[in-house]
Amino acid sequence: MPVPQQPDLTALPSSSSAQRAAAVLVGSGTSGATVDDGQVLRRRLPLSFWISAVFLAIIVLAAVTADWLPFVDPVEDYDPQALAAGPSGEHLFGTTSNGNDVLSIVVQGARTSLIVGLFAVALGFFFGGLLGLVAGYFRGWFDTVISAVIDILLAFPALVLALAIVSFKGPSLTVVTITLGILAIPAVARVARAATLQYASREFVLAARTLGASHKRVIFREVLPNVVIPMAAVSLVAVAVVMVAESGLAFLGAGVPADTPSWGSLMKLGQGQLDKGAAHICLFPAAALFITVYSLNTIGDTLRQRFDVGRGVL
Amino acid sequence: MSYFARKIGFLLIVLVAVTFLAAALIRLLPGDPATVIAGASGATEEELDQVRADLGLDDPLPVQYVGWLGDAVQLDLGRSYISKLEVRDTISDRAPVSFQLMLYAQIITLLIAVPLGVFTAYKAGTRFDRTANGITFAFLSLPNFVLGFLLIYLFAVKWNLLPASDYQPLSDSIGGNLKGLLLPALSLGLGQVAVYSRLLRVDMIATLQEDYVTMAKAKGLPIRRVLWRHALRPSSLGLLTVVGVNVGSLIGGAVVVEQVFQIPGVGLGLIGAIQARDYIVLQGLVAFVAIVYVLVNFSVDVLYAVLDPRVRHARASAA
Amino acid sequence: MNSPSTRSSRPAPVSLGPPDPTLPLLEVDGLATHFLTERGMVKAVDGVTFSLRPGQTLGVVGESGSGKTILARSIMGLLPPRNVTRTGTVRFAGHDLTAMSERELAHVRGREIAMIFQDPMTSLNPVLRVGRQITESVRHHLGMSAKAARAWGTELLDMVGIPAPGLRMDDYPHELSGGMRQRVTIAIALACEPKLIIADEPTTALDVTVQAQILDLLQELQASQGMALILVTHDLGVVAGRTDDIAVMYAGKIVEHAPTPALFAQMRHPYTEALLRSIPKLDDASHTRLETIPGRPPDLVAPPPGCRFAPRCMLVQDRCRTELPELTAGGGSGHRYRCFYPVGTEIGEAARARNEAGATPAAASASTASAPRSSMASRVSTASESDGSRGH
Repeated sequence: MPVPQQPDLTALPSSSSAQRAAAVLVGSGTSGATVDDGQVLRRRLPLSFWISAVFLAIIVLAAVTADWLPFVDPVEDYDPQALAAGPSGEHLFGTTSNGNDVLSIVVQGARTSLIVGLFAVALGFFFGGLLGLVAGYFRGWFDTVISAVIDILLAFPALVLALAIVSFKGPSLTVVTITLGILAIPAVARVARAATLQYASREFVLAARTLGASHKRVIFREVLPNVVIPMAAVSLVAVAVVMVAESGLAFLGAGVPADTPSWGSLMKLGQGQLDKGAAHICLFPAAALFITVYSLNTIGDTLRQRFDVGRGVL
Repeated sequence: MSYFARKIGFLLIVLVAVTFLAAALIRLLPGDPATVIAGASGATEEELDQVRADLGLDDPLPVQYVGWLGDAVQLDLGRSYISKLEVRDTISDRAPVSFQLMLYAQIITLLIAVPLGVFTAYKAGTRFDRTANGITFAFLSLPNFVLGFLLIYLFAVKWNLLPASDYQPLSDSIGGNLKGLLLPALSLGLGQVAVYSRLLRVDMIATLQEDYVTMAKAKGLPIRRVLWRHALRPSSLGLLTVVGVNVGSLIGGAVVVEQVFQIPGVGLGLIGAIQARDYIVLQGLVAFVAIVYVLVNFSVDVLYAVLDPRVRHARASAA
Repeated sequence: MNSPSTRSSRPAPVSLGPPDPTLPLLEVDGLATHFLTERGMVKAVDGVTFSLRPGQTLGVVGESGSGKTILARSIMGLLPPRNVTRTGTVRFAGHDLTAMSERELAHVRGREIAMIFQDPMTSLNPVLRVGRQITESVRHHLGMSAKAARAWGTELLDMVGIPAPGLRMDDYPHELSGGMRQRVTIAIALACEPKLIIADEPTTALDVTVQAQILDLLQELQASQGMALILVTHDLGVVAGRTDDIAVMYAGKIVEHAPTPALFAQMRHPYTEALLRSIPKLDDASHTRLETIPGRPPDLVAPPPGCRFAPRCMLVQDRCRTELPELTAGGGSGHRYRCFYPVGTEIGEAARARNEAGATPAAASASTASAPRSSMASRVSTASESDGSRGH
């Protein structure tokens, strides 16, 4: 979300009145602005940012090292003595109705979700970013066409299309990733275009053009470096969005193959058990998804406020 | 060209493009529809050809589209080859359900988000502001189906207050309808509180710095009156736009929540059509959802210009 | 114009009772408003003291950034809720406004003290009809019925010289011209017949031809209603013939305060003198280059240790750079100024002579008062000054 620009107080003594400073200050108390020694207003990263960073680090670490951690196999190993059993010393998160270990599935599912999230976003940001960059830089008819196409594509319910494509193609990690990546392109292009517009008419870009730099050079040397930083903040939020979509698809039975552990399919499995005294099957992956999404959103949002990307579109 | 003429011209272009894509969906999706459709009744080669001819799959895409569009404007969207029901009837059965769900969700969201946005703007930077922001942000990070599970677990399983899945038409029982849709509406609505309230908060903060708000304070009006009468309306245009987008997308976008709560709306219809490979129903529903989205967004745009004449002038000259 | 006292729809008498003409209506004592910013404390208003009798008019003059607008808002308590400290007292008819809660202040604002803002384009709510904006304060403060309030509002519009006032009541602000809009804000200020009106640059945003009309209207209404008036402006010419007293502000402090005739008879502070020189005079040839004040107003986070004006002063001496002069009386008739080497005194003119002889580098680079200004820098500073004063 947008946050008022940092007050430009260097201009204060010359042309702006203290009134303007006052006006700017009313809105400046947003992101962790704290009153320090009573003389100077300071900003620092809020506590929620650090908590989120730690959460995310744990989840990523668990996903990466899952194979070396002493977990039972989430698919092969099952415990016939404990079907849909609640959390215990042996199974920290309990077991599924098939006797599989919920903790193992949650940890392995993190890997699935992260792979889909990262690769789909990489795909979406590469193509969407390029389109938005070019449209925002050149403006004119090209921009008009791209913007119209984006508007048209956004009219279609992305999740429904993803569901249809994945269902008809058959479940596969690659299909899910590519589908979600492609469906992210219009939204990403729109954000990238908006970010580019902010810079395309700035003095340094015009100066580079005037000095005879080619369009290609100006786009990649002058505009892109400025757009990349805010877009990186947006991409974290995008990873969260894609992970939610992936879980949603898996929950609808159209995600990754059945033998691939996934939060969404675990939740699907657990939904039927909600009222049978085994709510843990559904609630643990739900909690994992929530914590991951919350962390990504918080970090992305904090960075976005820092770099003041225009009104969030995602 | 006037602002509205230009808008309507663009609307028509978008509608054609959107319906073209929807009509092309049959070909774009993986698999051979003819085999699927005819296969349901054990197909011969002639039967397959017959299906292809019916669907216009032998013709070039534009010809197929014109044929489809000709039927569609007469509200003939075809007939399911599985249930044999008219797609038109499926839509008129399901759309009101999704519409109710969307409406309840929007009401819940706005009832919470508008006061919250107003007061967090007024109290910007305080502990109240940060706490409210933190809580709504957590709900935003809760995917709606996850929130759905949580609500089912708490309200249906643990406390036994509300049904987990019990849709009753409004015509049967108003109370039962509300009861059945409350949890799904909360699942859809609570996350959006953060989006609405933050948007309103930012616009309100800008408005609160306007001279006319200081002027209202200088008149000695109570702060409630300053906030609600003087500051809210000029700050609500951004919110209106986003509400419009949500209204448009929730008609067909509540897919997962409708599945979680088994609500017989458009979303559940889409899932059913996909799972049964019911190409015709899928095509009709997708076209419907996209058209609704476009029309709602168009209405919001027009409403926006009506509400603020200054926007109309600015936009017409900028476009 | 008819006196509103003869009309049936005028508001009921206000609660604090008629002001005692012998007692001050407004006493501002040591008022200081500081903003906490990322760069440090901005001392926008820094120890301002003055008082105002009922029906008296005071002009507050200064460049933009001198703190005059913040002073006006500080008096009414219209400051941002956070990162602001206000110290000192503001007593209105004997009541300490700085000790009041927002709720108590709301009874004073609009009803006892009203405010007119710089730009009528931004100070009227764009989405509310003019009539509603005029009548809401009498409806709220005096509990007037909708019908009576509308009749009173129409009268007010008539009083401020708006033709067809009954029709204009239903207009939106953007349907009115700039001058009409400012007349509307004056009508709003008059609505509860306050005892004091604070007008913050009421004509800066208007066309020159309209400026005089609005100022005349304000003056007329002030006299006929017996209200006190604080007229805040960057233009010494605006207040010249219109106010009883003038206070000149610089960098958050009053540097000279005197009855208007006394001030124009003999300005004591070099800043006041410089301000006067920057006003075009009717008898000047049409292309006479205006005097401008060299340099820029000081950084309010870290103002100069001595006199705030020292870096730009023609008469500056070493003492001025280290020691802050007090606002002291001199020359009788309530003339007070904050200067060690006042203009027109022996020591002051001696200081000027020394600087003109080139003894002080700052003054030398800033050139002399008698020579025409021509440096690029001074013209640039004039341009930025006029931009700033127009705000948005």
